[in-house]
Amino acid sequence: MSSRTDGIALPDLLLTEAVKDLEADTPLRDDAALAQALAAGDGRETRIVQRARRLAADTGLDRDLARLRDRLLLLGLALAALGMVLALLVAMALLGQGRHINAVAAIALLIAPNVLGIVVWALLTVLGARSQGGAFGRAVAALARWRLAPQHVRRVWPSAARALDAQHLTTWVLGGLNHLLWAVVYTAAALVLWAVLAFSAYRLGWETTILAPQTLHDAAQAIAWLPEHIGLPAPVPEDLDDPDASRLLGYWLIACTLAYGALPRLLLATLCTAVWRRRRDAGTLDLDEPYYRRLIARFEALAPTRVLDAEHARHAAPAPAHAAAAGSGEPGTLVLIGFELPQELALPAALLERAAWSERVDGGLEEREALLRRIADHPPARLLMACHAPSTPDRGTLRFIEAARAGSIALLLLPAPDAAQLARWRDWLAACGRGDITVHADAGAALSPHG
Amino acid sequence: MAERLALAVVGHTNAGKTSLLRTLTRRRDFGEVSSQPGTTRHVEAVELAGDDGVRLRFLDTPGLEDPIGLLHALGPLRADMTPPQRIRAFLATRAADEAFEQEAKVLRALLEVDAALFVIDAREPVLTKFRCEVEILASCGKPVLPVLNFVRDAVSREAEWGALLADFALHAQVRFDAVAPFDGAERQLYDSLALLLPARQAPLRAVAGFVERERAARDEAGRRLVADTLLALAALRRTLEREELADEARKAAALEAFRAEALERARRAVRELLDLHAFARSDAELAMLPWLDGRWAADLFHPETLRDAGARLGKGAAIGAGVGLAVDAATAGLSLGAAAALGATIGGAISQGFGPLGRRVADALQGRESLSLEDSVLLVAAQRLLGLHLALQRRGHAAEGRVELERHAVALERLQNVLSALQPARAHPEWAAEDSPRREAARRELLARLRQVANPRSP
Repeated sequence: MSSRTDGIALPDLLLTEAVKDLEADTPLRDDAALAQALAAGDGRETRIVQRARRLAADTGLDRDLARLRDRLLLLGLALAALGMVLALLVAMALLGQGRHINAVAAIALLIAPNVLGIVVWALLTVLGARSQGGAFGRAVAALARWRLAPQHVRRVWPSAARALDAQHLTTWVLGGLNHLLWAVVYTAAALVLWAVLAFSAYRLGWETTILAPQTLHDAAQAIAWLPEHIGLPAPVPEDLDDPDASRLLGYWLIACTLAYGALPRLLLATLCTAVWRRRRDAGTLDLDEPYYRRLIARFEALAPTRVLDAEHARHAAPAPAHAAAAGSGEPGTLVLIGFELPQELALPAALLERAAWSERVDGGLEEREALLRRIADHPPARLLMACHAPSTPDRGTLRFIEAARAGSIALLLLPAPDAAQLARWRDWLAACGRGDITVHADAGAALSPHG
Repeated sequence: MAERLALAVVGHTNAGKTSLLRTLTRRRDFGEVSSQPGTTRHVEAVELAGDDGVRLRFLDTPGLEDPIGLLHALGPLRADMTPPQRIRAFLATRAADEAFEQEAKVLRALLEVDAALFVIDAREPVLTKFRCEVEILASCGKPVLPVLNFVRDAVSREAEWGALLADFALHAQVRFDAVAPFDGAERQLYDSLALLLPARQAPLRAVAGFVERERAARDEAGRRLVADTLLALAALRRTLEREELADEARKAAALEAFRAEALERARRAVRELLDLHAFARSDAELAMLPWLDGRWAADLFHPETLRDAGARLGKGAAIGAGVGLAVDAATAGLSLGAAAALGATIGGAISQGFGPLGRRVADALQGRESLSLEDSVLLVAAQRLLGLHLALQRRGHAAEGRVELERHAVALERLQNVLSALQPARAHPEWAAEDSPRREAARRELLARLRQVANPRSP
């Protein structure tokens, strides 16, 4: 459901963050969830969210989140009811002081808290936008850690508060609810005003001791500008002694309550909703968090590798040509071959003295075949091949061994090998079916005729 | 952009092909490598998926074990053939199915891919068989990028190899140590490949950028992990009741339990760092890390270590009481007492509000004392964890030796700033377990200082 949007839908984001908190101390068993997430798609975020959804379903976090949402909805309804009561109280406070109402003072009393509230909200929004965990964020986070909250709320709220704050949504969500509440309050207040003024007789006017009555009249007319422009009738009587003056001012009062009370709040609520809608489905995870990085590493380790050109049956060990050659050769002769040795590595002098002849071979084809012919012409009783100890034995080496015809063949590793190198060459010979060949670690041992 | 690129990794047997792939794909379990020759006998594919749809497909191939024989089997290049045609003709022969089956797999893979990485063990003497190998690979008609492995080894013959490769017109070469990669070696490898494959420059540069971003992201995540752990350790606090303090046995048990809790937190950080850098916890060499097998306890709370750390703290920063003085094994590293806790709390209270202070005063009045970790312990933990992060960051996924922590250790003196950023946590025991905007702010500050502790360059 989140695949078509660029970001992560808010419910998924909240679930993912809730699972993250749940796993903070002890990771959940997630083999099935991992496999499912891996199959779900390619994107890292998609996989992380998919895994979280599955784990949330397994641990009941999704139900907790749904319950939290229901509770917040109930809380909203309760607040709306409270708003109605508040509106009634405001209206009653305005109307309660006898049958005379100073309309200009009344509207100032109604509107001043509204303007103040909007200014405070705007300031907090601007300041909060600069840094994360602004005033609203802190307040919500503090509430989230409230120890008296029921367990299922505490399982999801701290992460939800953090996630909302990280997406810069806290201010807008709280602001939207706040504006909606006040819009309800002012609309209700206007209704109460209408009801009261419709069915009881009040005298509305403006009273002043030190101002000129004309000033108040001008003020009333200036105030009427906005409601008139949006189509609400807000007539200002020229003469307060006119019998219609109270009726006209009654309409003026109701129109101004709507225009300056409910209308700005409704507009701001719309703005908040618009921001909320835009950001709701554009959530992102902070993939630099160690928790998500570890998940990414695990997903990557699970990506399958494929064998394309499979191994066939292991090559059968080459025909044991050496068996025929064994036992032959001129008695007592020793031939020393320096096989694929680095230039600077000299053959041991003691061995050179004892050998009937010796030769170094770099491995070139012609050179190699000439050497094999020379060996075949006069097969020695012992053939000692000096090989480079750190190099890896390969099939080229094996092919030479197989082709050499001598009474017995032994290897000498140069320079003196460590245990691992010695083991590597011995294991390799055994794996090739030539376990009969001795591998010497030093020249002295190679000299002994029993070697 | 969904581009696919296939790269074959070829070379002599045991030159480090699989190791290179393990390091490039950060897959420690990829293939099966050992010092046994010819371990890889099949062609195995593994993908590296970038973040913008680019997919690099690596083919791990068996080693070329008998290049001399193979070159002979390929036969002479006839006048009516191109070199790749000669290879194709050979692949149709019986020899390709029998004697040279393993080599044939390499050649088949080479014909399919966009380019080849030719891994060379630079310690090997330049022999005729290797010359044959270069000749065969260079004749497959695909761009070949030689990758010189083990160049840091004492017996490396890099210059000789460079000359040989140049003789076969392979002038672009990369040095890459699969076990301990150089800084930026991966990037250099992809950049060189981009030069060899001009038509595929964009995706290759994208992969290079992706690899770099991933590295930066892992670095950041690792530092955050270290920061979280240090904050939790600094916040760790346990209140001992009057009765517990009176009974020596119970007091000792409480101290031990507290220390065990701190150790477990530190061990968890080690395990998570291993996860983060995609090293298996069960890895034999890594399992020998001092902290995983219990030696961490000896390290973190060792009187010698702490005395050393305390001395380097200098008097200016010695906030915890009694560092370096009469440290005995029973209480080493632990700060116990109302006075010390009060001191720390007053320091914290100035910036953190007076709530915790009130609680401490109440504790003091009722004869309770609180237990926390000393600065020297935090300092040692910071040094070891940061060092481990840096060491793992630079460790190739083919490495088999032990983790060289000493090489990446950060001098204790340079961690003083980190230590002072930890002090607010002392006034917030709840930070050991849960998050809050205030903790977030402290974490940001701590992270900024952890980033300032410059990475020691690997030699």
